[in-house]
Order: sequence, then C-alpha cells, then structure tokens
Amino acid sequence: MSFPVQLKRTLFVAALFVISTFFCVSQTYQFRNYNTEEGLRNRFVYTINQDSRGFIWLGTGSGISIFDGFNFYNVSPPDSTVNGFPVSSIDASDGSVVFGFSDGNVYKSSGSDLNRIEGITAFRVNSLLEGTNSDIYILSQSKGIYLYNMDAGGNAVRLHSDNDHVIYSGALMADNSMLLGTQMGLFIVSIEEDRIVPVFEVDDLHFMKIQAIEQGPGSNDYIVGTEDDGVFMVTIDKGSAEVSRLIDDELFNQYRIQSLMYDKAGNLWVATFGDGISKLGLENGNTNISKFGKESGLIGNDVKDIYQDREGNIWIGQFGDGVSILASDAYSLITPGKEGRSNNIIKFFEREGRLFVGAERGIYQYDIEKEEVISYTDLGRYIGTSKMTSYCPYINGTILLGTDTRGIFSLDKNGRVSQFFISDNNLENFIADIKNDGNYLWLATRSGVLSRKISTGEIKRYTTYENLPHNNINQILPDGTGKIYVATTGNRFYTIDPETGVNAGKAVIYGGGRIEFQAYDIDNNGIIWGATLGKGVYKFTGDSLVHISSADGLLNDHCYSIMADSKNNIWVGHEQGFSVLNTELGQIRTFVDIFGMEEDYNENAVFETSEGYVLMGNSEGFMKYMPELDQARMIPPATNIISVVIDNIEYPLQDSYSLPYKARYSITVNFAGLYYSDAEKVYYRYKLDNYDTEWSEPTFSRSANYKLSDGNYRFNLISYNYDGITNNLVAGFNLSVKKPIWRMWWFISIMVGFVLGTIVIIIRVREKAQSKVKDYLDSELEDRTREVIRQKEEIVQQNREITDSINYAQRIQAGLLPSLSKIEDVFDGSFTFYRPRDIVSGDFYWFDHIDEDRFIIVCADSTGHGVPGAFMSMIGSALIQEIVLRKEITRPSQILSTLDKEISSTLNQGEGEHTTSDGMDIVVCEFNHKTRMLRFASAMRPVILVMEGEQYYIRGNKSSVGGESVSEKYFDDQEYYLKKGDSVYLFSDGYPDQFGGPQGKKLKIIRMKNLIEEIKDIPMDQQSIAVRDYFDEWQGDLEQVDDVLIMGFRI
Amino acid sequence: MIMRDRFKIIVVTWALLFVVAGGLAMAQPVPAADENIPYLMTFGKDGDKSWGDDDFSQTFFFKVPTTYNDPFYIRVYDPDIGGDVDEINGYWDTRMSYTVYGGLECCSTDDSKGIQPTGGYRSGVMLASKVFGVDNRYDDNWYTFGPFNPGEGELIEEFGGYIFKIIAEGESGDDGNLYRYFLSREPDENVPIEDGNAFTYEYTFRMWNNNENISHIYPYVDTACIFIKTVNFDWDDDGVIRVVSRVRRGQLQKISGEKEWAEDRIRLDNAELNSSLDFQFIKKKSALVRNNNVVISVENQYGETLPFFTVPIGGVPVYNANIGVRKINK
Repeated sequence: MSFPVQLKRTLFVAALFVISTFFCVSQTYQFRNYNTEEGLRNRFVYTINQDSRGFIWLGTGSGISIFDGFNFYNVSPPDSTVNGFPVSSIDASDGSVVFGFSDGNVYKSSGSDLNRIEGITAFRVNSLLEGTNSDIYILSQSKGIYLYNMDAGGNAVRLHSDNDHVIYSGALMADNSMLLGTQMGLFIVSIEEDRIVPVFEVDDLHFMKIQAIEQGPGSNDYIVGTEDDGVFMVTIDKGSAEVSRLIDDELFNQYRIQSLMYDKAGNLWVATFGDGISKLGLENGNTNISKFGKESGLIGNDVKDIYQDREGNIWIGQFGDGVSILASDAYSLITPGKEGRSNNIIKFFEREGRLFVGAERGIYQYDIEKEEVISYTDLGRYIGTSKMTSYCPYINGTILLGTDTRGIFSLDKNGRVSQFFISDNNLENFIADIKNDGNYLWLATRSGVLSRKISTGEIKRYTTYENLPHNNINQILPDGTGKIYVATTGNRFYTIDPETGVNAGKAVIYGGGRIEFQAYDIDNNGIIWGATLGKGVYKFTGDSLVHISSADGLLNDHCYSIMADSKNNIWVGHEQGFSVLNTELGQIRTFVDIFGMEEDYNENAVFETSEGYVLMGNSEGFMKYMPELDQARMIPPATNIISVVIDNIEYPLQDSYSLPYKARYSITVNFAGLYYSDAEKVYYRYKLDNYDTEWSEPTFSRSANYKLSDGNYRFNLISYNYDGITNNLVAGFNLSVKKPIWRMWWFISIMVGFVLGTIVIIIRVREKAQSKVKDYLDSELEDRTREVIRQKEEIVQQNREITDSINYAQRIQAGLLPSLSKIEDVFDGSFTFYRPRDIVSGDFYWFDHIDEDRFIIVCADSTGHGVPGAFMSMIGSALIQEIVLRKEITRPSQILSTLDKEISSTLNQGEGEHTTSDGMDIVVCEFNHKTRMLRFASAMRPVILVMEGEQYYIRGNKSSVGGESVSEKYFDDQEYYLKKGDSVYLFSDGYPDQFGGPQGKKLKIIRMKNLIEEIKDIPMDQQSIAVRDYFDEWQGDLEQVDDVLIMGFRI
Repeated sequence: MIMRDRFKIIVVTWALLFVVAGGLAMAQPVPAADENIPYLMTFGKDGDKSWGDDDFSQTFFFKVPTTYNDPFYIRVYDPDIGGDVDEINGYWDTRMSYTVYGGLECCSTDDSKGIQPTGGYRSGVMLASKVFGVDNRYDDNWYTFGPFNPGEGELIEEFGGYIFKIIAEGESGDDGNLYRYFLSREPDENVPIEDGNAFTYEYTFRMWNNNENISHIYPYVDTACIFIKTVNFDWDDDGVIRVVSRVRRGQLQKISGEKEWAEDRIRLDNAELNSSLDFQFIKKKSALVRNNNVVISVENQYGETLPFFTVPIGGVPVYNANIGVRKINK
C-alpha cells in the first residue's frame, strides 16, 4: 500500500476532527450500470479487482466475470464441483488476482484461467492480504488464517491459533503483526512462524463487527469500518491502541459499512449496505462528505465493494444491482430546486463574484463551490403564465428578466420586481436573449434586434428592413468591440454595429437549405462558432468555414447552445446530452443521458464560471463540470487482444498460434483497449507483419480480419484513448501457418533423396536389366554369331562350291571360246580384252573360218551376267556355231536373223506364262582376208573402224537378238573394204559403262573412242595392254559393273 | 357488556385473520397471522427455565424460493432487550445475539435444527450477526439484517428453496426478549416474498395475555409418519393444548406444568398425512395466566423432529365432520 498523497491525507484526517462537515445532496453523478442483462454473471457483486493486463475481475454471486469495457466473460474454476462463489479478492504483486470463495476455496488467476490453491479447508474466505516476499494471507471466516507463498507455490498452510475468531477483515502491520477484524471486535496478533499469537484486543471496539480495515494516513494508522457503529481511526503504538471516530456524525455512524478504499486523490470511500457510498474528502480545509446513492443516480444503495481502477474510475459492486462505474465525478447534475420547473435551468451569469442561476420561474444565487443555494427568488407571481427566457445583469445591481410573452422585468437588488420593457408589438415581447455590452442593452426578439442606449434610453430596431436575414432572433453575442453577432436564420453570420448597422459575414454557406443559427460564441483565437438547429456546428475563420455535424461525431445536429471555454473546448448542448469539441486534438466527446434523468439541455444555457467550472442548464437542473477532477483522460488504454477466431472457432489469446497448412485461413482478431472511462471512444491501429505494409488507419472497430495462407506473421496492436493518449506498448501474438508438406525443407530433401534414390535404383535396375539384356544379347550374339559362322561356313562352303562350280563352268565356258590363235593367224595383229564380271561371263566371242577366205568373228553381249549371262552366252555360242557351221549361213545379217529366231525358239520366248525376254546384243563380222572386205551386221552394238588412220564409229541395228517380241526385226549388213593397217574394234557395253575415274562417272563411249584414237597406231598387243590398263585405272577401287569384252584386230 | 366486548374481540380477531390470510400465501411474518402468537420469546442465558424458555435459544429457518433472485432481508421487530415489549427481571442487563447463517449444512444436519443449542447448531456460514442490549433505536422498532443473496442459502430441494437460519440467543442477563421476524423484500418495510416461508423445529413463544385468543402452530406430517410425539414445556397448566386435523376434531394433549416437560402421542390417520396439523393453545378461562411462555416440539416415530411452518403447508387444517348416511327402509 502506498500513499501518494500522504500529506494530503494527514491534513484530511486532522481536519475531520476540527472542521464541521456537511452533506451534499441533490446532486446526480454520471454512473454507468452493468447487470445480468449486459452479461454480468450475477447481480450480486462481492468483490472487484483489476489484473495487470487491465481487465476488471468481478466476483459475483455465481462466479467470476471479467470485463473489458464492452463485454463480460465468465471464468469458472477448474473444479466443476465447486459450490461457492467469490467473496473477496486481492490484486497480487505478480499481476494476478486472487479470489477467496464462499466455500473456503481460493483461486489465483493466470491469464484468464483460475488455479486452485490447495490446502484450505474453510467455509468462507472473507479477506486476502499480501505481505512481503509474495506471501498471501488467507483470512477465513471460520478456520483462522492460511499462508500461501506465490513464489514457492504448493499448498497453503494454516497458521495455528488458540483463538476461534470469526474473521471478516484484516490488515498487515509493519512489525509482522496483523489487525484482525472479527465478529467480536478488533484484535492485534503477531505472526510467529506458523502461529498466530494474540497480542491484545482493542477494547474500545469490543463487540463491534469489524467489516473492513484500510491502512490509514500514518504508518500506524488504520481506518476501521464496522457493521453499524461507524468508522474509526485506530492508531497502534507500542502495544496499545488509540481509537477515535473518524466522523462524528450520528447518521454516518449508523452506516453498515462493507468496505473502505482510499482513492488516488486521498479521498476515503466508504461502501455501505443501505446507504450507498460516501466519499470523504478534504477540500479547502473542509471535510466534504459526498454521498452517492439512489438519489444521486446510483442504481442501488447496497454496496458491497468499492474499487478504483488505474484510470481512476470508481467501481461499485452492488449487492443485487450489478456493478456501477463512476467514470468521473467531474460531471455532476445539480438540482437546486425542489420541483420540476424550479430545476429547469435556462441561464447563468456572474456578477461581482456571485453566480446567478436562472430557472424557468425564478432565479437562484448559488455557491458553486459548496453547491449550496444561497437564495432563490420566485418570479412566478410577476410573470404569471409566462416563462422566463433570459436573464441579464444590468446597472445598479438590477437584473433584467426576459419572458416569452411579457417583455422584460427588472429585479432590483432589494428584490423588487417591476416591468422594464413591454411593447405593443407582441413579437417584441418574446425576449430570447438580453445582452448588456456597457453601452447598449441588446434584445433578441421575434421581431428583430432592439438596442437601447443605456445612457440615453434611445431605442433602435434592426429587422429585415435593416438587412437582417430574419426577424426571429435566437441569441445575440457582443464581441467586446461594440459589435454584436446575431443568431438567426441565414446562410452566413450577421453582425450589428451601432454605427454602421447590419453587416453580413464573408463566409457563405452554399446549398445547405434553411440554416437557423441558435447561438454563437467566440473562442480565444477569435474563431466564431455557430450552433444551428438541425445543421450541426459551423466554424467561421475569416472568409472560410468548417462544418461539423453528427457525421463527424457530434451527438446531434440540433444544437441548442454553444460555448468556447477558457481551454478552447467547445461545449454544445443537445436534447438529452451534450458534445465537447477538443479544438486542439480535433476530437469530439459526446455525453448522452449521463445522469439517467433524460435531461434536455436548454437554449443558450451554458456558462463557464470564473473558477473554471462549466455549467449547462437542462430540464432537470444543471450539469457541473469540474475539470480538475477529469484526470483520467491522460491515462492510456491498456491494449489487449481478447481472442483470435480461426475459421469461425474462437481461441483465447496465446503468445503464438501454429496452424497446419491450409490454402487459406480466415482469421479474425478481437481486441480491446481497456479504457473504462469511455471504452467506445478508444481507437486502434494494427499491423500484421509479413502481410500489411503499413499500420492501419485509426479505427474504432475492435476486430481485424485477414485471409492468410502459409507464412509466419505477427499481429501488432496499439490503442489510443479519445485524446490520443497511448502507452505505445504493442500487444500482439505470433501466428504461423505451416508450409505445405511439399514445401518443407525436409520433405524437399526427402523427395530429392527419393528422386535421386529412385534414379539410382532405376539406373541400377536398368543397368541390371541391361546387363541381363547384354548377357542375353551376348548369348544371343554368340549364338547368332555361332549360327552366322555356321551359316557363313555353310555359305562359304556353298560359295566355294558355287564358285568351284562356276569356276568349273568358266572352264567350260572358256573351253567353248575359240582359241585366240585362230584370229591371230588371220590378222596382222589382234587382241581380246575379256574380263567377266563374275567368273563366267555373258559376253562371249566366237570366230572361225567358214572357208579359206572368209572368217567369221562374233562379239556378243548376252543379257545379264554371271551364270545367267553364261547360260545365254553358251546358248548363243552354240546357236551361232550351229547356224554358221552346220547351217552354213554366213552372211552376218542372216546369222543374226537366224540367231534371233533360234534364241526365241530355244527359250520359248513369247509362249506361256514363264517366257523370258533374254537375248543378246551382238555384232557378227564376215571378213574376207583376200578382198579385205569386212561385212558385218550388228544387233545394238556399234563397231569402230580405223581406216587409213581415221576412226569411224558405226552404229548397228536397233534390235537385239532374242528377247524382244518385235515381230519384224531387221538386220542389215554393212560392208567395208579395208586396207592394210586398218583396224576393227568390236566390244560389249561393259567397257564404256564402267564407273570410275576421278569423279566415279561412266567411262562412256567417247573416252573409249579417244582411247582407241590414242592407241590406234601402236601394235595390237600393246593396245591390249593399254586397253586393260586404261580400264583398270578408270575402275580404280570401284566394282566392275558388267562383263567386259573388247576385240581388236588389225588388217 | 363483557360478552359484547368478548364478541367484539373475537370478531375483530377472526376478521383480521381472514384479511391477513389473503396475503399469507406470500407472507413471512414470524409468528404468522394464522398462528396468532404475539411474540417469539428468548430469555438471557442467566434466566430461569421456569420462565418458559428451556434453552435460551431459538432457531428459525427462512425459505427463499429458487425463483426469487433479488436481495432480501430478515427483519427483527424489537430486537433489543428493554422497553415495553420485553420482560424485565430486575433491571435490563441482557444481551441478545441474532445470527444469520446460510451455506451448506445450515439446515440439513440434525444439530442445525436447534432443538438444543449444542454441537453444531451454529452450522453453515455466518452471514450476519448483531448483539443487542438496551437500544432505544430498535425498541418497538425494526432492525434489518441484509441484504442477503438468496444464493447464499442452503438449497434444500424438498423445501423448494434456499434456506437461511437465524438463531436468537440470550448471551447474557436474565431478561426476556420478545421479538418477531419478517422475511422481506425491502430493508425498511415488510414486503413479503412470494412463496417464501419460515419454519422451526422447536417453538418458544409468548402466549397472549388474555384468555380469548387461541394460538396455533402447524407441524407438517409427511407420509412417513405413523404417529407423532408432542413435547411441551412450561405450559403452566394454562388451559389445554388440542390438536385439530381433517379427521380430528380436537384431541387434547398432555400439558406441562411449571418448568415441566410433558409428552403425548398421536397415532395418525392416513387422511392426516401430507398435511399440517393444527395445535391449538387455549388458555383457561378461569384465571388469566400472564406472560406465559411455552416451548413445543413434535417428533415422528423415528425421533425426527417435525418442522412447524408459519405458513401451514396445505393450508390451515379444518375438521371435516363425518356425517353418517343410513338407508331408510320403508
């Protein structure tokens, strides 16, 4: 327990005995009430405390409720079989709240949970005290005292005692002693290890039930509250106690006191059953006892507990009526009169330090400090059925009294009332306002403005005729320079200067429709504030204006009064409430029916006294605002996150939340800035790290919504009270949504390993498979190779056999060819270049003497080559011999014709399905060596003659022998008489068709002609070599394409 | 003339009874109007038992129905000991305590019934207590205990509500304390709680100081009762005690003399079960015994004490005469 205002308290206590006290009644305060309808668990509130997070814990008749300024949250003990409910509590030094229950259980809060302290077997725990070293003393009603150490934990231990006191209250003393408030009085005991040792009883309090004990102003002073014997100051000194009554008031001393509390300002609050609350405070040397009960707006008079939170709000635990908050006693409703109309306050003014409060039917002189009526003048009998509308101090102590139908009366300082002004124009008898600027008396009427020069009594009227926008004037405001502002209907403000008349303001309101100004005031900066009926407030600065309406936070757009106070707060009166504009912060506070009286604030009834109090007249009295008591505004809200809703499931606050992967979570964060003075006006800024790039705009909303995918986030929250005060402490929590499994490093590692492993396995499997395949292929290859080798050998063998056969056939074919010696005998020289392509040849030659002079030479090229060609050559050779030698057909053309027929006949050409087209190109020469006549016939083969050194290329007939089905084949003979030395060259197409040379081209007949041209003159044997060499050189490495036969002979 | 006065008294008394009876269904004055008992009586512990208090302690129970959730009060009329209402013995030197209990076992144990102020008769959680001596503030005036939370009582299902106990004890002195209770919704006036009730297991009360008034108490017998034993103390042979029920026109009980106990038994008829009996205390007409106090209790065959409900359960029993009907043979 600390005493921030120690000196003040000491003075206060001293003053209690020397200064008379008085009760302040007829005052209503701003209470907010919460009961079961608002969510409170039970209407019987036994104990109230606040935890370190700022939550208010309420012990009620059916359990604990936690309050955040908006909602109540029920907290239940972990043991569901608990029968009791909390009846006492203490806010422990570790930030928790410890509750004593009616069934003897004790629970300690941990966050929003409760943990039971074991080891206590008592019926009821009436009080909890915290000592040094985290010791909690548990004072039970029937089983003495238990000790629990918060640091050590474990079970509570009962302190042995020889006495069986019924304990209700207690207080720890400095010397390890304790005051015990019991059923039978006040006892001082000492705590010696695990024992309670009685020291002495305070005799003066014998038989008194000590319900509450509070540390007093001095270290040895204690305030003791009894059930119905009043409050005592007990000073303990050296084994004795000095007892004195705190208040020597008979009525006060009958109060049934339930709890005591010192507030931060050093006031002592006394909660009672039946008599509400009393606040004992020291002010200006007097002890004020302020009483808070039903008559002052409290919902009930049975108060069990009273508590002051960190903001300074007074919490009142009512027994049967829930909990009430006295957010601030800076605002109170004073009802000076006894009946309705005498409390309908319409005007205030001060004169010579005295406050006058004008009511509907009379006027008070009022002591605003003492809140006492000094005098009241009833004007009812003068004004009849009229109502007072305005009051104004005038000269010589006179007060002018404006009425709504009867003009103006004057009230002189002797209390005499007389008619001051009455007009024949009834509209001028409605006096909405009267102002005295020293030179002129100004009247606001329904027929314009009237000015009366005080020195001369000259009256001047200002109406629409004088350029006023309207004649219904609601208020007039002297600006101190001789001008007055006229509140009437118009789209700008209007002033009247006695010298220049009516002037219009520069700033014009466009498009606002009909705007009726009710009142004006001018703040310290010269800014003009205008209140309108239905359009809110206008702020005129030079030629510019600002409109402030309910959309900006004004309580209502119908404004009946306006005033700028000395601190530049703008006070605006409405029906059942008022608004206060803080011009520095640009914020608006609204107050609605704060006294529960449904009071309507009257026209132009707002005033700031010389002491700085703001007064606002209303239908039930007047509101008094005491700025020095409005301290809570500098206390920042306690920022708290209430819960986190994840996919529509609400979770209590945790340091962090870890969520499994999901593509998208719906997250709602519910939070509250705990600020019980005005919870609704707390605003917030928040930011979700890794999601929001900037802090949110200020908002009054108490939740934030997100759609989150995987990632790590941190939610941050700051709250501000309505004056922008914050402690800059960021509340928050971490939230992580796990990555999908396929994005986890370990999963990726596993998958990479798996893939690699799979690849390795695949490779290995494939290698193994390939190895198997290879083995198989090797085996197959070996088998196939073996088979191939076998087949090769077989083929080689067959080839060998075939070759042998062909070789043998070649020998046969060679045998069929005539001996070259025959031709050498006939000619001067000759050669035969005969090179079969495939051992046996389709080309063949034949020659023989048909008589002594003639010599037949045949050079033939059968179709095909190899064995088929050999067959054809053999057929051809045999048929030629048959034709020439047996049939003795010697003429070459006839030989060819005959051969053609024979071949067709032999091969059955033209008959049946399997007929062949085989035949041969052939040239048959008949040479008469006597005559040197060469006659030849050719089927498709040319003949080259070199006659007299000149080469001739002579084409044959265009038909082959055999093969073709040309019915008419014609072979003719060509005859040449050769001379000695002429040469004849016969050849097949094998030589000119051979590919080769540097470009792999055919040799062609031209190169052959050139060759013959080159070699024509050399001996035939050399020509044979040249022809062979040329051919070999041309062929090179290429394959021989056909059988080659060249025959040359020289005449 | 005397007869006319008596007649007037009787008429007025019964008229009052009927008028009040209309509100009895929710009235918790103790003693109740039906009982026509002027005061409860408790002497200081130094008193003589022959003055009519066997144990200087009286325990009463109040039932608050579970449907009632508002604060309530137990009011005590003339709680102090002094002034006109109380009985002085020498000089006023008596201190009287009133203690209200709630919570578990305040009613449900044998000791808690308060037949004898021994053992655990103070069971339960003490909710309020006050000691009175001479105090002019409360002489012939009401003192209010409370507010109480109905939930702080002991919930007894068979009684249909939360039960609170108040024990009045003479802490010191020998003067007699006359007092009444009222279970009220309001602290400063007697506003009954609907369906509230009060009961005791041993009734110690003052008789009227005139012999025209008949006092009643109404023990309730349940179906488990076969017979009951009535016990009265210090009746001072002041007239008769008779029992009326639906089937019992007025069975006289043995009565006690000065500082004596008297017992009697009544075998119950089935028609009497689950209803209240009407014990009528009729002072003798011959000589007026003033300031007579009496103690009475009723047990069943098991020795279990039966409660007297101030608002008789089932209403005040009325004898139903058995009119015999016989067939007439023509």
